[in-house]
Amino acid sequence: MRQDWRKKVAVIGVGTTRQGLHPGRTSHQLGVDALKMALADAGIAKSRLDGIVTAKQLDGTGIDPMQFSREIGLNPNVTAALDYATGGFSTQHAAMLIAQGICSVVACVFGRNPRGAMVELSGAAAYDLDHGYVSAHAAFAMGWTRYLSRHRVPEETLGHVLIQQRENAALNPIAAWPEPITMQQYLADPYVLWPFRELDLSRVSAGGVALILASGEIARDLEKPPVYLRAVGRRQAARLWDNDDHLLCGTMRDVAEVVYGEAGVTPADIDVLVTSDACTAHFVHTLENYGFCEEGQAPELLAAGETRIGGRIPVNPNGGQLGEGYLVGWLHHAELVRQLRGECGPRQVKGARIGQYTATGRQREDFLASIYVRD
Amino acid sequence: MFGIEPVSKEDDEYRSYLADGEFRCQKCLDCGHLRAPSQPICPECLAEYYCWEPVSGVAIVETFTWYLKPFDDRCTQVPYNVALVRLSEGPRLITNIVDVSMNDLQVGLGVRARAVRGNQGRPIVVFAPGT
Repeated sequence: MRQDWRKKVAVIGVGTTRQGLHPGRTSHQLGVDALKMALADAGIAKSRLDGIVTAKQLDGTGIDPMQFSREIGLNPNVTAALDYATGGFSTQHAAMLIAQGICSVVACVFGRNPRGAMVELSGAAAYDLDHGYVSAHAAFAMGWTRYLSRHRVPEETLGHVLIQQRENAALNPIAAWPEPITMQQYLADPYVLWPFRELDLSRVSAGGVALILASGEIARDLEKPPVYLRAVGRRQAARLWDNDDHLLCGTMRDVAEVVYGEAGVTPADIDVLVTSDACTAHFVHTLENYGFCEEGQAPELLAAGETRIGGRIPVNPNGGQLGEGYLVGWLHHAELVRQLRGECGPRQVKGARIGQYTATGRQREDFLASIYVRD
Repeated sequence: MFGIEPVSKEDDEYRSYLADGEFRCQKCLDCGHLRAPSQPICPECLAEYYCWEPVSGVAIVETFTWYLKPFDDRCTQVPYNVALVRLSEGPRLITNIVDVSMNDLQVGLGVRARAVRGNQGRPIVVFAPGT
């Protein structure tokens, strides 16, 4: 079954706070900060919103959609908060509400002020305490071990990811981690979750983000050019390692088939890729499974700088979660919209018109990709 | 903190066999599918009836990671590893490989099951090198 999204749903406004530390601010306050910016960006009044989609993390932190609606003085047609929501899952939900005519303008809002912001590693989880299987990063680490057993991979490979993300973050005024890093510093960082160094893993940070989606008709009447949702695909690999290649993110291949088929494009058509990168290795699996290169070729692509701004397939010009901030894939959507509008100044990917987002959640059991286009 | 704590009749049965030093998996009485970890229904045919089938305990290491610093206050005895192994009978399990150095643990290593007490005091199955 394929949905024809063509020009049905667009992102009309985005807002992002500074990322990093926000002592004393609640996630709701950070969400409101971002929502105000997104409304101004869209050029619409608050009263136009008739849907509110928020998100919570698995630990229950995040934004409650009813309370949030009350605080901002709205009676929406529908509110929703997915129990686990990267930005992709929430925007998919909002897009469905709009495509079905249940809502016309939906604000997706996320904010977070976690304990240990800027210090604690992301991915806290206890999957199997009896065996000490804790942290979502362990699933990524086991995937990378498997990858290393199949391919000859230079030690510098994941260092390139981090260095490039920090370079991009330095061009991003809201970034939490804009400091440059050298390969020497990366290689000197000790392993903490072999085969990962601590620098391979994202940390939590505080901030807010809002994305306003609307029907195509509404979007076309606004001042800024609409950025249309062209395709979205999700697959939840609930059977975990009963699936072969589970830890190598094999399910991404299923999602790729859906999303490229729906959009009628191939990876060669994508001008800019944003991916929710909880760890450096995620880049490799994303580039290969979504078909930006052959299996085993991503390390070469990274070493050649092809994922830099100006390269063959620029990835996360915002700096991603290793540079800009960790808001579980929400910030990437704001970046994608700004890139496709041509608003990104020094980090602008020239002529970007077709952009792709990808997310991987939990212990690699939740995958989504979406494609956005500007006319 | 959150996670999946297996608390079920089937899990209790699984661990009581391990407490006696026996490693068994649930086998569906309808379709014969062998499943791990334990759960109330067969994921293939949805039947409820099962027996506890003794398994060989022979497995291959498919992948692993080494914790070199604690990632949780309840699991602090670093270094330790967490591994995904595949039993010769088919099912895959999350486990630990014991009696192995960082140098010797490799993808593809042949291992054999051993029933022990885990770091939370409950019976678990771990694996050690050997065929």
